Amino acid sequence: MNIVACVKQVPDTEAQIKVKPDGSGIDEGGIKWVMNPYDEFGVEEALKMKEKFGGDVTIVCVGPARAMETIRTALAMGADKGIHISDPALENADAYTTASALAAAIKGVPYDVILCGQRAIDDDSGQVGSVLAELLGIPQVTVVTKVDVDGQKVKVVRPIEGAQLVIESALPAVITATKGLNEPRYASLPGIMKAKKKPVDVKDAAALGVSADAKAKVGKFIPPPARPPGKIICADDTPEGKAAEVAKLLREEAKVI
Amino acid sequence: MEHIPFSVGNEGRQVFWNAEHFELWLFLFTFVALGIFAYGIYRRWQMWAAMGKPEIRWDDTKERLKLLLRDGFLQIKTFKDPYPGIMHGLIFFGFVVLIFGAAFDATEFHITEPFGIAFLRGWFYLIFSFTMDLFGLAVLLGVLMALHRRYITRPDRLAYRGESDSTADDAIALLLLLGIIVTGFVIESLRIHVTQPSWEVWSFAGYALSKAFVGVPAETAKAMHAWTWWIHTFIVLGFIAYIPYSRLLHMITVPANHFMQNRKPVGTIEPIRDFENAESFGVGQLDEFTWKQIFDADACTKCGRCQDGCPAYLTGKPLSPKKLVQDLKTYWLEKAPAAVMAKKLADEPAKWPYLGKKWPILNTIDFIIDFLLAKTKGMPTGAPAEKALVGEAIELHELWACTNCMYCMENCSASIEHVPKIIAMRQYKVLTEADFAPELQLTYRNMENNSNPWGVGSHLRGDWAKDLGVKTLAEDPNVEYLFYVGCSGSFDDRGKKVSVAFAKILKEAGVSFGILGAEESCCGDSAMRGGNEYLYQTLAQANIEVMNGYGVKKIITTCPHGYNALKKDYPHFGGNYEIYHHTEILADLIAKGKISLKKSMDGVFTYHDSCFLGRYNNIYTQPRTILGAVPGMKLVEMERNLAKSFCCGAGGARMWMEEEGQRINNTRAAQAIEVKADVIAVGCPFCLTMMSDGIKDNKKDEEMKSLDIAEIVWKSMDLEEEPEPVEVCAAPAE
Amino acid sequence: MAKGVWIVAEHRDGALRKVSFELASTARKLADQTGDEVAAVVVGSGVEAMAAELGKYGVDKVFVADNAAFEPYTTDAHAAAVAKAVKDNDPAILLVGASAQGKDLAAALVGKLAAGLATDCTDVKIEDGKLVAVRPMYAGKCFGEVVFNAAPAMASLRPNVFPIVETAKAGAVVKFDAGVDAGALKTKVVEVQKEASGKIDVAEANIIVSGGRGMKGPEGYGILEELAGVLGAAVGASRAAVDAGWRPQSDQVGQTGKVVSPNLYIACGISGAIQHLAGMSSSKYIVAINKDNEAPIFAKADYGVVDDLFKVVPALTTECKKLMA
Repeated sequence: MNIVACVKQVPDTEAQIKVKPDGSGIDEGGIKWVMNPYDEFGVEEALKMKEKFGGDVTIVCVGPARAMETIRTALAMGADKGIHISDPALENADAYTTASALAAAIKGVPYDVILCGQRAIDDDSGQVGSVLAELLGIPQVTVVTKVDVDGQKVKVVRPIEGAQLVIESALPAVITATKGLNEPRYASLPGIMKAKKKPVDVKDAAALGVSADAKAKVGKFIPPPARPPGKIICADDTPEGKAAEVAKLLREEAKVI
Repeated sequence: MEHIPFSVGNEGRQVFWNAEHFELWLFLFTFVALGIFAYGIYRRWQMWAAMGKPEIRWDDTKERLKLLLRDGFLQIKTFKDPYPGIMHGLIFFGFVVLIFGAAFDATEFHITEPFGIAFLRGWFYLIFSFTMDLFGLAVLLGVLMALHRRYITRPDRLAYRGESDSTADDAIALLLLLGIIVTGFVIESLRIHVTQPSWEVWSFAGYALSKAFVGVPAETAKAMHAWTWWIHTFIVLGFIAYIPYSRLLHMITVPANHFMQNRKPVGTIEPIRDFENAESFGVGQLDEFTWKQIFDADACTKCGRCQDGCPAYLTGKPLSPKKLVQDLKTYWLEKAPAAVMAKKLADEPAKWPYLGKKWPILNTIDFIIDFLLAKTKGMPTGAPAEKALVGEAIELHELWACTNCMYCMENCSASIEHVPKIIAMRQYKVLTEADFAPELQLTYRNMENNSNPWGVGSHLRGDWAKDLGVKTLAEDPNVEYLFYVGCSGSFDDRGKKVSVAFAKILKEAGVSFGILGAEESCCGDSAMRGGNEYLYQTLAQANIEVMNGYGVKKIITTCPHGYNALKKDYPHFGGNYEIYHHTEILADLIAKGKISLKKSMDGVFTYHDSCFLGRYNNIYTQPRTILGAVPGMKLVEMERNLAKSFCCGAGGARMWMEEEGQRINNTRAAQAIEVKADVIAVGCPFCLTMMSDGIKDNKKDEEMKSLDIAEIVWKSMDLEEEPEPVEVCAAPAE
Repeated sequence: MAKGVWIVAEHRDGALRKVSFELASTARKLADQTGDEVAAVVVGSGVEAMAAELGKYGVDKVFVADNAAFEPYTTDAHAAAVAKAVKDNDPAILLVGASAQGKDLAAALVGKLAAGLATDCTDVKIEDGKLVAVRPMYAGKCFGEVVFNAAPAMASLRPNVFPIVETAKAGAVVKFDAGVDAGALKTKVVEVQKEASGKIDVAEANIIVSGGRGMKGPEGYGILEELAGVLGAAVGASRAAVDAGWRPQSDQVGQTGKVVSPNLYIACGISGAIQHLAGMSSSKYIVAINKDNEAPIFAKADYGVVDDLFKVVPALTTECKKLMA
């Protein structure tokens, strides 16, 4: 069984995100880059499948030179080889372009399952896996917390609001992973050292025949409105009054209930 | 044999009185006993040499001989515990004297007397007799104390969770000692009874006992004497022959272990140097320990001092340092014969190992004995059970329960080094197998990504100092001290208060200092002690690069974990600085009058010793001196204090792990409650968190609190208005 | 030339979901600025009746694909149907709900339509006759204004953010054949497991009501469960509560439990140890209820209530019930 896992390098969840003064993007200075946590679930699931069924795990990543580190991380966890699609033209690529590049690279690799994170925690877009499936003409099941491969079929659990769906899909398919699917392994030190010697193909957009024209792009980055300092609720100083005030604020100001 | 008759003025006794024609037999039996003894040592030596990586523990012999004198002969470590210390001291020193006495006897009889020189005469004889009886009684008392303790009072340290670990060997050893002394006194008293010299009142014990034989005819007494003499002799020779095959071997292994004890600073862990090419890290198999680490296990007398103060054991965790070392020993005893065999094969690859060119006779004896043992016990001689060291012989729960508090090593009377073994096995689980607690994995990821265990954004590290006017070294590198704040002091709300208090004190005292701000990294202590040497070295190197870049020379830490890591472990990687803990600095500032403590602090304070400050770095007095300088307070000690202090439960990466069952911090907080403390003063942010939580869990948070020494000092300096209570209503409601 | 503002209406259990009305109202607003019509696509089985309802919220035309193969929802069937309608009619803008189903559908459509999509938008507007979508990125640490170079310009709208406005329009139903062959579908829903107990995992919950040491015992959690029931929230716990055995390990929020980022986190009787804060401080809104006004949790809270939680929480439950009725 051959498995492809797509990964992206993203700023650490705790990283400070500073918008460039001209709004053209994010100031990357001082950012610690990590593998997108949802992709890590995908890689872990790929490794579990490999352990169960044998085969190879190929890591495919679109990203600048620094993203090689993320590919090595996945290789350290136990993946076998990597494809690094690195091209300045693909920086800030939209989902369609990214998926096109991934699809072009994956077409050259034998695969039975493709695993992606349900979204990347930088652009929070959540499209690449789905678009990839459409471009490869294979089915997709997104945002899943359980995967069972059985012959040429896969059964997944997909939580939605208030319910869980059990979905069966033919293989090959794209599966996008979310939290709860597994606990990604901590790479062993021999694994980290071996990863340095595993093969990684570096390809550019031209080699894959991918056009970098974005269908949608972020025209302007805006810093978030300053979070107002927390309020201590007073109202009429009775528990009931305070509760009413909180409920009102949650409804009208925060709009979360 | 001719000699001047004994008389008053020429007191003495005939050595080997009433023992006719004994010499040949005695020599023969002694030869056999010594042979059995020597062979036992030889077989043990083979086992010691068969396994483990090389390690040199005999450098600087002169210093080591001093350690041998201190710990081996003067028994300083043994005496740290009064009852067993005295008990062992009576037996040990008693026997030292008795052996010297026997040597005097033998020297006179076999060497000097044939030349007509007898020195055991007159006043010297009287003192000699008195001393021998006195020390004989000492041994007797020691043995009785030991028997009483082991079989009557049965302290828990001689057991594991109520299950006694006494074996027949323990009883045999004690009974042999008892037999030697009792028969010795009986011989003496029978001789006195028959010969009746008036001066023998100096042999007071034998003299007193001789009264028991009043009325026994001389001939009967002489016959009894002869029998007892041979019994005594056989027990002595049996004792000697028994040594290598029993717990009595500790007479050799323990002094050897003292001689070879660690001479590096307490708690130093040798860094792993080769990450690139090794296939396995730490210790996953017995052979990956050094031979000294294995020898340690053979030196253990299961005295249980380690267990007595082990925070894990005392709160019901599966770990007992004693059990761990004993399990290691058992495992080694299972594995060693095959290793000895393998080594013989390796030495003489082409031949049958038993009849090799080297030592053919010894090898033949080995073979015969192994063969006979195999026959009688039905035990195969070279195929030990396939049991993993880590996970089976030593269970993972034991391995991960250790807080690295150093109680066991500090209090071990055999200089056994438990903690480095535990760390080495953790390294195997973490680095080689990457199989360890998920919560610790999260901690390590956080340390990797944000250089702190909580995973708070690393850019926020210097934020605690924003409003204090504290400069970073980037802003001004020309300062005397670097204040290395550490993760707790930078990110933990409670820890930040300590950093703020300490920075304010330094400013007030006019100390020139700066911080690294966001350039600071985690010290890595938790990574290293949790077995993640790779992560630890990454963090250490990041710090060292920055510190060396600024030419840092002196560093102050408020966290003993950072203190210890920077002081002892960073030099391995080119980080050489003078390191001070803030209690050292504060004590100094107070002594020099740079700060004055004015405000009276009422209430009962108790100081909880941080393991990494106390046992690791011998900083016991400074915190107490500081607290002593605060007006008004009453300082009380908890029962477990100083070198026998009880850990808070956070060391050895335990801070970041779930704890099952009774919690160590709650146990420690309860000890503070026992002495009716209002404040638990600490010098460590981990202890601070653990004590605060412990106070809450004991439901005492209304009346008790935990404070860092720096906070107490700052309050007592009385330079800041008490902060207004937080306004409950920030603004009037709309 | 692409023309028209479209929405994909979402429904479940025979009724349109609230987000569909939010979509319709927003589409109406945009269409009024561009001078276009609003059209909706409804894909399902027996959905014709509910389709008409959309007219009330400003929809001019409703394209309905009615087929047993569309129930329950599968990505391939629904995406194929919507894609066909879009390709046949070439709208300029396509709005979808950023619900679990909507996000899934929208992403698949991007592939089928070679379009651009802005996910989980909190604002959409027309600039120079074109759609500009505003959406949070980096977990809300910044926002992006998305512009489009392909038609349709797609945006999924975060539920509960856009107002529902009633504007009566025709809502004329146009049935179309999506050309979906049930036998050719490669995925199928084999089971729908409703959350019988109503228990939601803290890791997935949008709202978490969490209790700590201040709950005083396992019985204290009753009032939290009531509030959670009203809010559709999960009940979480601090390490102290889990260690004390009051709540299961799986509910633990924090460094050593689950790291969560819900829209709303209500911390009751939690002092806010750093271990806990590390697990929940990325929540969008934090409410703290604690009687100790010095509890560190208040430094992280958007709304803090210093009072006895055993009085505040039941009152809050009553108030929320009222507001959400």
